[in-house]
Amino acid sequence: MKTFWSILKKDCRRLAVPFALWLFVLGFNLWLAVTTKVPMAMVGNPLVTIGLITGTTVYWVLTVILSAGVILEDPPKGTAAFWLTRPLARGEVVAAKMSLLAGLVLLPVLVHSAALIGLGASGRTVALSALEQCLREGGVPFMTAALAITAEAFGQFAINAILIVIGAVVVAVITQILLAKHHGASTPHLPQTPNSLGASTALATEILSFAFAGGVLVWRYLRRHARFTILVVALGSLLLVLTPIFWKWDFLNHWRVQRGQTLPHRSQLRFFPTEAKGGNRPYAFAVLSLSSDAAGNVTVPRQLSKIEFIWSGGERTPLASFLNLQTLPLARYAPESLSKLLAPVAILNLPRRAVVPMTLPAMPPALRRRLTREPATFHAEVVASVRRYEIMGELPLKLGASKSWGLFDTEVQGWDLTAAGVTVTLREGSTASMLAGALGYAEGTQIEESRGGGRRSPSDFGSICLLVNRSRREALLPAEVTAEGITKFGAYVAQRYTLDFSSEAVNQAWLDQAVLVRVRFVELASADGNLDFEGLILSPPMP
Amino acid sequence: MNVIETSQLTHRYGRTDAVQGLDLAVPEGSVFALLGPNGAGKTTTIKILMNLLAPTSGTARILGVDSRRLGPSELAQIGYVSENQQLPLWMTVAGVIAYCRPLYPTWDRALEATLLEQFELPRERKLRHLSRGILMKTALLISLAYRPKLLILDEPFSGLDPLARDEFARGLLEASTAGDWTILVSSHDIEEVERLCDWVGILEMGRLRSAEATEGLLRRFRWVEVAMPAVATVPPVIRSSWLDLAHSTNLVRFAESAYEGDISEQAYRDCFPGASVSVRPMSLREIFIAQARATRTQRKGAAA
Repeated sequence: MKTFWSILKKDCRRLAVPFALWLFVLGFNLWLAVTTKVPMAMVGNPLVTIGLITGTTVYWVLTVILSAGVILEDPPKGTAAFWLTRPLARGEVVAAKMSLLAGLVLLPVLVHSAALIGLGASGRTVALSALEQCLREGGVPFMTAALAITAEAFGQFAINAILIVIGAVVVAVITQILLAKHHGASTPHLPQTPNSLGASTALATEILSFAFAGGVLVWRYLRRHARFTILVVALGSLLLVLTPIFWKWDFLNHWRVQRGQTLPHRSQLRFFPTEAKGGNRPYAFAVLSLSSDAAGNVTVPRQLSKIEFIWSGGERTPLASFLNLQTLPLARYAPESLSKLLAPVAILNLPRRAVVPMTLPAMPPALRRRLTREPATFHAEVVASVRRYEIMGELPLKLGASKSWGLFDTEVQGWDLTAAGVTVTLREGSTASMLAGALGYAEGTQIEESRGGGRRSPSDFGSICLLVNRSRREALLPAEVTAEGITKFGAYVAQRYTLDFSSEAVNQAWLDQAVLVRVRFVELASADGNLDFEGLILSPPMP
Repeated sequence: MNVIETSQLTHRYGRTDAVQGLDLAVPEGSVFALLGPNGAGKTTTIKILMNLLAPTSGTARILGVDSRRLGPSELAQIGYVSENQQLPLWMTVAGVIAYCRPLYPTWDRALEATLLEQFELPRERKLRHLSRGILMKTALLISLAYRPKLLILDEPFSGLDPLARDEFARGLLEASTAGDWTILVSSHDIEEVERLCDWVGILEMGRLRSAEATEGLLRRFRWVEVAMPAVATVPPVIRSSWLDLAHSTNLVRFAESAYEGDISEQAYRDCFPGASVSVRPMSLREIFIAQARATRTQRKGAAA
């Protein structure tokens, strides 16, 4: 044990500066998350946005540096390391290293748990969230450490890690493309990172990453002369990238249901579209309370009468993101205080073909009148009020007109005027979405209808495009938004959105004076000031 | 008793034999110098002894234990200083001493203080800010303060300026009086090693050319110069013990590797009648060079 503590103390001293910085960034991120109560897409202040992005990036970079540093301080590779000729039991060395890595996982969990308790979360919620976070984030330090054992110095580690990760991703992409061609699909599914541990694939991947990283670390330290380390680590990384593609066993036993399908009696029904759609995040999740008929069967209604809670991994508040609140346990057991923080996300992440009719009390009277005068047009399915909004900008309704919204551009591709109204087609693309598509982080490449997700789009949640005729002081809200993924060379590059503005009053003269106005919701509330899920009617995404 | 014993020790890097069939024995209490040119296999041999490398074949025993099974209890009795070792440069001298101290049950704080004073080490300076000489002395301190049974020094003089070499060697000599340890020192810096060692092993091309007590080696080797009255000719019979033989107009020179006093000198006079023969002792460096040249000549001859 003396050796164990010696190494532990020595490594802590060695990594004191990055560790202190890491703790500071953790605290900064927590502070920023608590004080920023709207989803990322809705953060108006660019400084806050930069802070949120930078804070998260720096945190993970420091986590990688610390994890690699723990190993590289006493590397098992090579013949020059100081510890190799000192009377240090290898078992104690690896135990000290593993303890430090575990500390990198557990310390943020402690911070998050304290924050959750402060927000009023129950013990069960905190415990489940902590478990979730351990599984989800623990893979990073341990996999980094597994990569670090292939090197004797930091530069070598960086090169090895980059080569191994890129190699694994390239092999995975090629595998996906070959698989897609083999199955005759027109557009291949790119590898996707299962983000939710509510999915068997994701859980299996996380557990595998732990087992592999931990195993290879122990093995390398105890059997120091082991050869082919880089090969083993590369194969392990490949395994982790390929697992989401090939893992078929849904050991969490999710229900696959169709609307209107008659099911055996269950008091609760859970939907995990992640698993069913092969997507990378559960963009909608519902827990339903259903009753059975005399025969013991339950019929899933076409429209769900009540959503107890709906949660999505798409657009999250910084706090939700920081606390990793995107999964079943928290969604089920989130207390009221948390619900308020998470609610905008829940409201704004909509399933496919959902429409967002709403009362807009703070809008100009003419706009409000227009919206409220013809409520039937808007399929009043979601009821929530916008307490605060801001206009992000406007786009002339001209062919080829484009507008940059920061990371992405929107371009008017055309419109189709009919007696029932006008359908506007927009195209959105960005470098970030191209990169995301290439790396497989896009929701999918065969999107045919709008889905809740992390991308900002006319149908995205947190903002919406209105068709406004200023001279007539009229505005139209889209009755329906559909989206289609555009792929190029097998990679997702952009989306095409069709916004259906249904109104018989619209004609060419009306359109000539119209512009598209993008409105961002800053704060949502129901009439009584609290977010209220009663009456929230959604069509959940079905497999 | 031998502290180190190797038997047919071989190590290959790919197709290159770094060490070939090495049979080495380092007697207890000796200061054994492992000499050889660069690439002779000295560092590889030491790395195998320290279990930093696995032998391709053969065995190495150190303190009676197979080197592959060296554990903390054996390493606690071995001191190791190497030019290749990565010291924790971010630590101060005091810090690295404090880190090492609890690892060794036999750590002698009095000896530590003596060595600190003797080596004149700056306690509060970080290792990365130290000169190479001070760094090596620090490494020596943390390898001596626990009174190891065996001290292994791998090229300790490499990269040191003459003053630092002298200080290091003197420090080692003074420190060695404080304990009864066996020292294995590898070097190609023969002058520095000569004043330290009482045993010498000469490695070349991964093979052990000779290994014997320094005294015996110095007694066995002589530098012989034969001045001929007329034009010198190479005698018809060249003894195998004559190494590095060269001749000029009326002079024949060679290194005698089996000098036996009067018997040898009589033999020279028989071989070179009428010639004037002068015999003088050789330094370790001259012996080493003579052997190295002889090996090279043999190799060329074999290749031809």
